[in-house]
Amino acid sequence: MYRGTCAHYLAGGEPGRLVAKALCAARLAFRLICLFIFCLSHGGIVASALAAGPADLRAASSPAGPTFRLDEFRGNGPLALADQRGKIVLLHFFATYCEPCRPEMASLNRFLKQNAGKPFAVFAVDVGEIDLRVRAFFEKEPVDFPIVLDRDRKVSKAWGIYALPTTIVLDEKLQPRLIVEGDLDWSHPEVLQKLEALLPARTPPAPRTGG
Amino acid sequence: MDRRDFLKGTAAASIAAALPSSAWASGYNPAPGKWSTFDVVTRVEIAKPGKNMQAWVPLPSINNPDWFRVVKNAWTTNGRWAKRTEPKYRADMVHVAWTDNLAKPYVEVTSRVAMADRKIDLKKPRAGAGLNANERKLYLTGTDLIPVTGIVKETSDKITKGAKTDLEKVQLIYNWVVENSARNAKTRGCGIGDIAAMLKSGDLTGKCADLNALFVGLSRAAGVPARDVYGLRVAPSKFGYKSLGAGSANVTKAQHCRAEAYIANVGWVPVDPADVRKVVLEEPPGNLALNDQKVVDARNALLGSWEGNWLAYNFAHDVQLPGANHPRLGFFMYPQAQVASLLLDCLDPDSMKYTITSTPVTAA
Repeated sequence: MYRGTCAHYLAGGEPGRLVAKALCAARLAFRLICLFIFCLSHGGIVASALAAGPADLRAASSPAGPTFRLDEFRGNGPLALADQRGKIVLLHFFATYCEPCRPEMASLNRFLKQNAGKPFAVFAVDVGEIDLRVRAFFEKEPVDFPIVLDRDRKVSKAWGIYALPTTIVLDEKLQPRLIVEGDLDWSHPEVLQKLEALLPARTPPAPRTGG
Repeated sequence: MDRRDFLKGTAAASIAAALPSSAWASGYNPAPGKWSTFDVVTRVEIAKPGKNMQAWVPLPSINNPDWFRVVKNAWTTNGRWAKRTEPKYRADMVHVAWTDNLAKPYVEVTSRVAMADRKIDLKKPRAGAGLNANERKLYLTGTDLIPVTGIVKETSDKITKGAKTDLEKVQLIYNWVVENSARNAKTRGCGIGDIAAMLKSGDLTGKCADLNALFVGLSRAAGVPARDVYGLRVAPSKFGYKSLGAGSANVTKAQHCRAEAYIANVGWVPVDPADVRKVVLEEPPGNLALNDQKVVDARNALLGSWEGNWLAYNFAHDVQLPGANHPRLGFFMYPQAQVASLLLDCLDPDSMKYTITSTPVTAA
C-alpha cells in the first residue's frame, strides 16, 4: 500500500536527498505500525478500508457512461469531460468526507507533476456535496486538476459508481479501459506501467534530410 | 468473502435470530406512561452576510396521541418569514429570507413538544390501525437514495425468504441489519443513506441515516410499508444508556433518525436497529459483543418500542427547499441556510453558526 510511494524515493530519487529519504522511511514505518494496529482492532473489516494496490487497477468491463458537463467547484462555469478527449483521463469520483480520498488527491496531483509532458489528465468529480464544503476542502489542500460537482449524483449513478473513491481510466477516445475502487498510489511503477501502455503510439520523427 | 456468500450466510443466521424472545429484558425497557415536555430552541445566524440569504428550519411536524405532540411552534427573526409545508410528506418548516447584506441576520425557532415512551405489542391487534392507499403507496415507493429495486430487492428477497407474514419479514430485516451493519464513528453527521451504494460496495457501516434507511429500503422492497422518522435527541436516557440520549442541554449535534414499519392490524411499529449498533460501539467499555447484556436488552426493545427522549421532525425524503434551486435534500433533519445562493455546511455548526438547545418544561 504505502511501499509504492516511499519505494520510489528510497530506491531511486536524486542523490544527496538523505533527509527526504529518512523522512520517507520514518513515514513508512509509522504507517505500517498504524496499519498493524488498525488490523488488530478492526478484524475482517479492514480489507475494505485498505488502499487498493496496483493489482486492483483492473480492466474496465462496463461501457462508458454518458458524456457530461458539470459545474467547476469554484463557480467558474461548467466543464465538459469531452474536452479531455485525446488524453488518457483518470476520471476520479470522490467526496471530501471519504477518508481515503484525501491522500489520493495528493497522489493524483503528484502523478500529474511527475508525468508532465505526457498526455495524462485527471478529471475529478465530487459526488453529492454542497459547493462550500468542497471549496473549503481544496482551499486547504489545493490540486492542479479540474474538480467538478455532481451535486445530485446523477452523473456518478449513470457511470455506475457505488464506492468512493473510484477511478475509471479512459483512453484518448474517452472509452473506459481500467478501473480501480479504493485509493491507489498513482506513482507506483506497476500502476504507471499500466497507464503508459494506454498512451497512443507515437509516430517516430521523420529522418532529417537534405542540407 | 464473496459478497453473495456473505448475504446467503447471514440470511440464514437472521432467520434463526428472528425467533421471538421469551421475555423483555429489564435494562432498556421503554413503556408508555409519563409524558415529558421540552422547549427546543434552534437559532440560526448568518456569520458572513451577503446577497440572497435564506434559511430553512425544520419544525416538528408529527402528532401521535400515543407518543408525540407538538404543543406550539414560535419564531423570531429579522428577516421575512413564511411557514411552509413540504407537500409530499407534510414536513413543516420556517422559511426566512433576508435583505441583502443585512447585519446579523438570524432566526430563532422555539418548539414546545411533549413526548412519551412508546411500546407496541406486536401480536395484539389494535383498533384504528389502518393505512390508506395513498400512504401505503408513499411508504412502499423508493426515494432518490432508497431504491426498492435492483440489489435492494435482491437482498430483501434473500433476507425474507420463507417469511410468511409482514411481521416475520420485519423481524428478519431488523435482525439482518443489526447483525450485518456497524456504526461508523467517522461518518459525518448522520450519514447519507445511499443504501444501494452500501449494498453494492458491501460497506454496511454508517450512522442512523444509513443503517435505518437500510431497514426502511429492505422493508419496502419486501412489500412492507416503512419510513424513516427524522428527529433530535432532547434528553438523556433514563435507562442509563449514555449512547441513547442527549449528553447536555446543547443538542446542536444530537440529530437522530428512527424508523417505523407498518404491520396490518397492529399499526406503525417503532424500530431502531441503528441505535442497537450505537450501543455496540459506544456503551462502555465500547465495541460490545452482540451477546453483551446491554446490547441484548437494547436489541430486544428497539423493535416494538423506543424511549420518549427524542423529538420527531418529519418523515420527509427528497426535499426541495422552497425558494431555491438546490438539489433535493435526501432528508430534512438539519437547519439549512444559504448565502449568495450557496448552501452553507449544515454539518459544520461553527461555519454555519447554529445552535439547538433543549430545556425540560416543568408543570407550573
